[in-house]
Amino acid sequence: MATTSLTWTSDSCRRLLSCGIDSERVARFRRMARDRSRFMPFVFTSSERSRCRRLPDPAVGLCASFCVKEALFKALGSPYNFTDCEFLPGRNLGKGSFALSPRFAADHPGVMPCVKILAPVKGQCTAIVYLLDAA
Amino acid sequence: MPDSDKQQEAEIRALVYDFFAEECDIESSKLTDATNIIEELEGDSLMLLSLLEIVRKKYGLKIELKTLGKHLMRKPAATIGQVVDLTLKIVRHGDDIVNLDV
Repeated sequence: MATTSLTWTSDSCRRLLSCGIDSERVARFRRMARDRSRFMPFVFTSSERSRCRRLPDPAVGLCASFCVKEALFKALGSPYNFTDCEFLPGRNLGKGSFALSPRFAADHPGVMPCVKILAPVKGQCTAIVYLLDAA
Repeated sequence: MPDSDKQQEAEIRALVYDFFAEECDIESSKLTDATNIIEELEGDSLMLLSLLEIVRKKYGLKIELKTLGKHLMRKPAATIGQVVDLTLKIVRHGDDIVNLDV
């Protein structure tokens, strides 16, 4: 998978095509983090879950991951398989990034997604995904 | 409609109603097919995906999220009744749901 953590700024040399934002409550992911049977394998990959389980608060990782996937969907404006986008936690949430599968790249040529993940505020995670022109 | 289809429909209806009753902490008897999931139950995409995961496990389905998303963009499911219909289609048609007339 190709990894990205690039953050778009107004002086970026690449053209901004679209952006998507999503925000979720961490509490929604507590049961999923605790109970293996509630895990959603068609949303999260097993390696993603393993990474999130190693975090001090796995629910925050799952929440941030879901926000990234939803924000990417909104930026694209078309559905994709959420397992094609894997959340990669950083040393802190704001340093997180994501990896995209080769299938995603083939389905969406010419776009370069980048992400900004905001640290939880009042138990709510937020992710902003920008789609840049890859040309 | 054959009895087996009616039985399956009743089973899925019960599954959907029980799911939303538990998720939204509301008595199942207070839900109807016309209940709007977003406006009345404060439901969201995560809730719908959780339901789909239960359905996938229960019926051993392999439907892809991309397929479901394409179908929902053509025919959104806003009420409990629409989610029951959607779930029935998923169980009966799997990934072919995207080829169904809407």
